Amino acid sequence: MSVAPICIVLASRDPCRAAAAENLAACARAIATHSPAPIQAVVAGADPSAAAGETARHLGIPVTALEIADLSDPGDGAFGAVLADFLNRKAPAWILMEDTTLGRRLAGELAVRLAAACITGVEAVEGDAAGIVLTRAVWGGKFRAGVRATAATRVVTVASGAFAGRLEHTAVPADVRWAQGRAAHGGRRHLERIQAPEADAGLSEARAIVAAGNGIGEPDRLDLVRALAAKIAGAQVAGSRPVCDRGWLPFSRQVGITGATVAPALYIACGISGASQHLAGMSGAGLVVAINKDPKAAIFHHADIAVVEALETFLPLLIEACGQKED
Amino acid sequence: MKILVCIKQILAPESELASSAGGDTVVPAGVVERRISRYDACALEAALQLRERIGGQVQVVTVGPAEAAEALRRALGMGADEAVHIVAATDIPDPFIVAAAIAPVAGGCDLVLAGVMSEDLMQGAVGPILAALSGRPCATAAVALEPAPDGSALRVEEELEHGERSIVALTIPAVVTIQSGPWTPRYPSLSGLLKARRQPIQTLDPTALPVPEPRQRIEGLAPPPPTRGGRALSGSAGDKAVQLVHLLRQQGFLPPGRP
Repeated sequence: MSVAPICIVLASRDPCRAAAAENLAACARAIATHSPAPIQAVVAGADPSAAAGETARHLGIPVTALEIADLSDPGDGAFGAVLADFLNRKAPAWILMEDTTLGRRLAGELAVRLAAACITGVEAVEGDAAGIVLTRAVWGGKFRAGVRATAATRVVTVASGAFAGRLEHTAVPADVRWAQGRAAHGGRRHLERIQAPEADAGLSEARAIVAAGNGIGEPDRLDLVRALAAKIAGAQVAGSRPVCDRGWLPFSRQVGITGATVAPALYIACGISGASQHLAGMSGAGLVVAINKDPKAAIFHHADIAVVEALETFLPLLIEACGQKED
Repeated sequence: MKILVCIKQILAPESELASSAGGDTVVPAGVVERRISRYDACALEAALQLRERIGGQVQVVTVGPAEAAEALRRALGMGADEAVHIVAATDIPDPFIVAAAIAPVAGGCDLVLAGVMSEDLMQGAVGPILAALSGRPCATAAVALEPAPDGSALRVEEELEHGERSIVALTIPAVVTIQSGPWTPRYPSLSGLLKARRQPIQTLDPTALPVPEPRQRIEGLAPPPPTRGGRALSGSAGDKAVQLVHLLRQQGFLPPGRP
């Protein structure tokens, strides 16, 4: 009997397809190291041939171009239905997708249609005598959970970039096959895409960023954050998602997976808990200073300098010290 | 329009928490706050705003232990019309079991809303699984909802990655998960809270329903491995400020101190 494969799922129209393909292939190889299985990819879309060829050359694994009739966008309801039919015939042990809005929704749908486990946001893979344990962030990144699937089929979404740079390229020429499918919208029709607003050039080019998180508590305390930024040459003010959601800072100032990705030489995180969605946007920073009153905040695991203090007491002292001479 | 909002009571991530002895969940390790998961509170706010615009009823449901009734009381205080408590001995980490328990309640509703994920397990799975189980269309990470005048459809703006959005049309009945963006959960009014105390909460025993086999389980919880040194500054708050300024000067981020 042949071993059930590991199947990587990509959308041909995904602008980040190449990076997603590498991330998913590296995750698939990590699984196959512990539990050997053939790895294949499916590139699905209205016209997936070119993207499938590219993926096969890039990854060196067999790829199926799955052409979906009358598809306007991977967000259309037909996408999941055709994909489920295709995957049911392949009977994979693992289905891997990128952990995106689309990937998470499809994961739930495919898991129901394939009677599979649904494990999202996977950051690492480990093996033991009983099989594979997947690691994912819980409680805002304060803990990481090891999750074991008890179903024979597993649908997994892999955190963007979690396996980045870990793909070993092979020179094996890979086949591209072709398949097609058609399905009704299932009550979900894609209408249009709205492009992201212009990224704030100030943030991506800033030498230093002072960022405010949920822990600032009230909008007036942003003045302290601004005052600190004013002391540091070339510093800009940014915020985490909850701060921008409340309108305390504009969306263009949001750092994280749903906002900007930044890499300043200095990043001062004020009252930021350290959720993985935020870390994804600032992990490339040089020196990271974290200020938070919760000594167990996840941000302290990802900071070079840790200051356990309440912002309302510490920031005024810090701003004052910036202007003082040294002994 | 009859709207069902799925809510979960969580141990707030900013609370003092520790891994349980069995390593399969997180338990209080000091001062803890139990509250409605933030995204679910946003979903309830979205439902209340829809009711204000087009009329109808808002029902809330939770699957959880006895103390989760507090979350339902708060939801009633915020303005929900009815509450259903599917009582479980503990928090259930398997989204299939949660979705299967909610599915019969969802059957009588036009629109099911839930948070894009819970703040504790962060799976984002119950909404899409519930939609697929009940054969309804699904939209996720919604930042805007626009019902058709005749109530037969819903236009949803979904948040994708890096600020991109997509607009989709769903036929009703549908399932939508809510991103935190534009919805700020209202505070319950005092009169709302008083009224909520008198309102009945319907309780359901999930063992009366067929419970699906679990498909996954948690085996171990630990703080994440550090990715950086995390040197902690010590002393009084003032001492720490002086140390930090010294360090930032050494690295050239602050001008040298005045002589």
